[in-house]
Amino acid sequence: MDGFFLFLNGLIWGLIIALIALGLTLIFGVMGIVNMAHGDFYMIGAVISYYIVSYLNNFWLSLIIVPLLAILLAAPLERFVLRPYEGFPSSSMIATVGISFIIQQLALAVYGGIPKKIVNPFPLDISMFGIYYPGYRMLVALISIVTLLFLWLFLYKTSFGILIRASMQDREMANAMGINVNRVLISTFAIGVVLATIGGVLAAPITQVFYLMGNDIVLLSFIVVVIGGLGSLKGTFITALALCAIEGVMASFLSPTQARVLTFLLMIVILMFKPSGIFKD
Amino acid sequence: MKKSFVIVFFVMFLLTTFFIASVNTAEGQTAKKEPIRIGLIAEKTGGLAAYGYSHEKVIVAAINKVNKEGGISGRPIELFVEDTESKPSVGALKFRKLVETDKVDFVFNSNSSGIAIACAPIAKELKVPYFPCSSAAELAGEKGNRYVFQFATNVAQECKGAAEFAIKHIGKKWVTVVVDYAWGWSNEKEFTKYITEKGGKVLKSIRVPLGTGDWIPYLKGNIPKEAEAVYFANFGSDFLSFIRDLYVVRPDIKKLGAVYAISAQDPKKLGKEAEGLYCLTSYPTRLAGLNTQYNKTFRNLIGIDPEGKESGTGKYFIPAYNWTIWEAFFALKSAIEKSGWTSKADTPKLIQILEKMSFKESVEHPQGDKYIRAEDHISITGLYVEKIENGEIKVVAKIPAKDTIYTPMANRINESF
Amino acid sequence: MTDIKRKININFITIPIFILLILMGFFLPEGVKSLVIHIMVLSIFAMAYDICLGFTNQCSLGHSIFFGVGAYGVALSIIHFQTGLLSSFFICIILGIILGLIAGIICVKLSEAYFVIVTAVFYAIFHLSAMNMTWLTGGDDGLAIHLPKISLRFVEISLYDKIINYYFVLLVLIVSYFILNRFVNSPLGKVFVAIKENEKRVKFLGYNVFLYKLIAFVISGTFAALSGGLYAITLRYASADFFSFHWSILPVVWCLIGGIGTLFGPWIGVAIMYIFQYYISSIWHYYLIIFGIIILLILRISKKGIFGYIIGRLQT
Repeated sequence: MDGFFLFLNGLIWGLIIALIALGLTLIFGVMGIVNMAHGDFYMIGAVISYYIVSYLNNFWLSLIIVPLLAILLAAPLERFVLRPYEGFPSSSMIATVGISFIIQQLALAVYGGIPKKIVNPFPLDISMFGIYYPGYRMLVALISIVTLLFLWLFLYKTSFGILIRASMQDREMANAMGINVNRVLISTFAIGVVLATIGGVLAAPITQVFYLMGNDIVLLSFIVVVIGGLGSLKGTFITALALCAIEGVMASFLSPTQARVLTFLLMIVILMFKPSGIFKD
Repeated sequence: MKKSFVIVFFVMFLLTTFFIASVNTAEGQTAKKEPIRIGLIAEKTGGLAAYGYSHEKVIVAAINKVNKEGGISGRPIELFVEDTESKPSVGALKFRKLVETDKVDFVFNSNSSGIAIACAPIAKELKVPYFPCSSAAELAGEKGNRYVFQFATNVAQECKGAAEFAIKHIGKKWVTVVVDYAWGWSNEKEFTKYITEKGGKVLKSIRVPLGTGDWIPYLKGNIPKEAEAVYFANFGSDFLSFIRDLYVVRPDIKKLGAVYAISAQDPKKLGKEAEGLYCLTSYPTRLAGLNTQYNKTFRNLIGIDPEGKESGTGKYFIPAYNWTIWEAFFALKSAIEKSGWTSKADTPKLIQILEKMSFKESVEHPQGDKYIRAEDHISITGLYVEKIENGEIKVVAKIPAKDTIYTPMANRINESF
Repeated sequence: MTDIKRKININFITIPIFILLILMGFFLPEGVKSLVIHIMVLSIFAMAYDICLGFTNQCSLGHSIFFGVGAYGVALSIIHFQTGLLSSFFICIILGIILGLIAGIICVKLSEAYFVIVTAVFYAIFHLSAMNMTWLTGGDDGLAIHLPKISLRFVEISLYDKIINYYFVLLVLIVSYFILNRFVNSPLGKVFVAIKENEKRVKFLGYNVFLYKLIAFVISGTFAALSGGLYAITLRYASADFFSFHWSILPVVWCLIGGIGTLFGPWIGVAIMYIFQYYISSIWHYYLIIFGIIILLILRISKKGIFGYIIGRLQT
């Protein structure tokens, strides 16, 4: 039964990674920025939720406060710092590395260098299929799915969302059609950052809140984005779930390190045969 | 061609200024009242940033105390601190900087075994005594040298002492459960070796990956019925998962933990799963575990409260390792005074004296009596056994130093300087 | 209509710098010498990476595999096979070439984003494996190396002598630079630059673009391995950390702030970073904040980095 347990674990991490990776894909697709600081936004989400738990004693408030703070952070960051690098992958990659340095060191200065735990906000175990599964993780799944649903509704059913997707398809056309580029850029970046921070909040109780925690998920997120097919939202989502679930299952009979190495090898093999990714939008 | 000339000139100018600036940094003349320079390489940023904070405070407190009392041999002590960024390559470069640019005569610290292992050969190359606070056993073996002195107890000492206590007070038939990386493997290997030597038996060795949430698959069906006790090496959230799941599988089994396993835990939050658990430590985190006048004074001087956190701010200290820096510093002080060290030329004499020194329990050595073993420069000292009873951690036994003595893996007595 | 660009021969900068470095070896205080040695070693790495990114537009995030393999090539040869210093060096170069071919054949044919990701996956695999195989690599703790003496015909020299260490590294830097400069100014190099500017056109002209990019990748990897070996020698240490993401992303940072496609520019990137780390870190250990701001400023002024900007201005 532990294989199933680890599969569920993998799936739920897949949902968190899906949130983060979707943010990354939006930022890259619409703005042409390779956001190496994306993991640090995830970290900021976790850190802020730590403070909210410490001072306000309520974890769930983070889900409201953190996105708001994220928007306050993201909007000026895009408008005044990132704008010149948009459309230049290499430069944006290194510019965001610079931003990553800054964010990490600031977190170190304020939050400190000690990894801290957040108490499980929902310590009930739910019995299903013969095992006891942590209730909090089920809530994570629920919240992630709801968030993804909102995201889907926004991107596919609202006019502004469709604008954003159009900009992803073809920036120049979107520009030529007189779309307010400024609004689109700021909003997209804000959405991307919000998704990453929500991922951080959700992950905080099941991992440790540490100022370098972003480094653990950056590579995986990028891989998910590329394999899912650059610019394909559906592909990103499915890839995130699939990869994390596969890794989870493999971890039941291999060490986590071996599981990860094998997952990566699998990805290389996939890309050798399908060089443009599994899904093309 | 004029533009390129300007550029070349500009570049040369930059290089020359930086070269001049560097020449002007500390040129240590060795006059009599010149300060003794001490270097500290600390993990101030990076993955191990939790350690550097307290280590620096401890050595500053030690230096302040000594400077107030007149310094060492009448000379004040000056401290230089560098950040290793938790990386061995940076640590090695900063070690060099401390010696070559800041002209320090002695270097203290790093908790990281990687950094300590990278710096140990440099200490010998630059002929500078080095006091890492890493507990890596390799430093007492092939990866160390005559310039390196280790005050932190290493796994071999700990397991040997633990095995003695375990056989006498806990049981003969054991299972080991360790985290699946170097520290865990060392504990597994050393404990098995020594418990077997003393007539016990390890029935099964279980390894669990770091960060595992669910330990049931690893424990269930893997603990033989006749096993009386478990020796475990894990900490943090792994420890919490471990005792929770072990209780489900074998609520009756006795438990003995490796050094540091419960250091950061709050005993009140551990619940019935942790009742009766034993754990080793080289230094009790709580004052109550070692309630001597010396220890009280020491803790006041470095600024930690009876629970082991920083007084006033509640920030985390690492008492399990902080004492090693404090004691290493005072050991050096004694050695300087005893050998009459005045400058680098005297360092061989200092080492020859230090490697045979013993220290009595005092404010300078609050952890207990100890001595340095000349062959491999480890400190032979006792350990403490803590037990969780009624939601409290109490020191229930002291493992005497003689129980921890193991055959040295190196003999540096005739090593050249 | 393209502007006709004046051909800039960067030797007019590098040769005076080399002369300066040769002279400085006699005057520099010990500590600064260590710093300069450090910078010189990593400049080779940066320069090697520039061949990949700056000259053929291949943004590899996996170059730490070469760095680590080079370092371990030297370390393991010395520790287990007791080879001499120079022979270990050659071993690590051979390893670099082989690894470059294997990785290159798999990666080079992939298009941009996929190339980046697969090279990144390579580094991740190497890093995870190196951390795990502690029996071979020492894992995170690493392996300390005792350097054998180099015996030339009549004399034995030891790299433990700081001056010897300095000139040895400087010699390798100078030789590497001239070799790479030759490549870059040869017909081969011209194809590289053409590929960077317009890959499709080069393909239409009948060139086997894949082959040229592969050659660039292998050259880049080989010199990166060389620099890794030199780094292990300089530090007398090798660890699994050399395979980490840190060493994959740093060459990109050095090239982009120093100047891509210029061969010399990346040295500036290395110098800025390590001078900062050496002097500023002890004053304010959050120096990376300043460094991050500098990165943003430099990239704002020119996407090609400092030296790229200078060269650009000189060409018009």
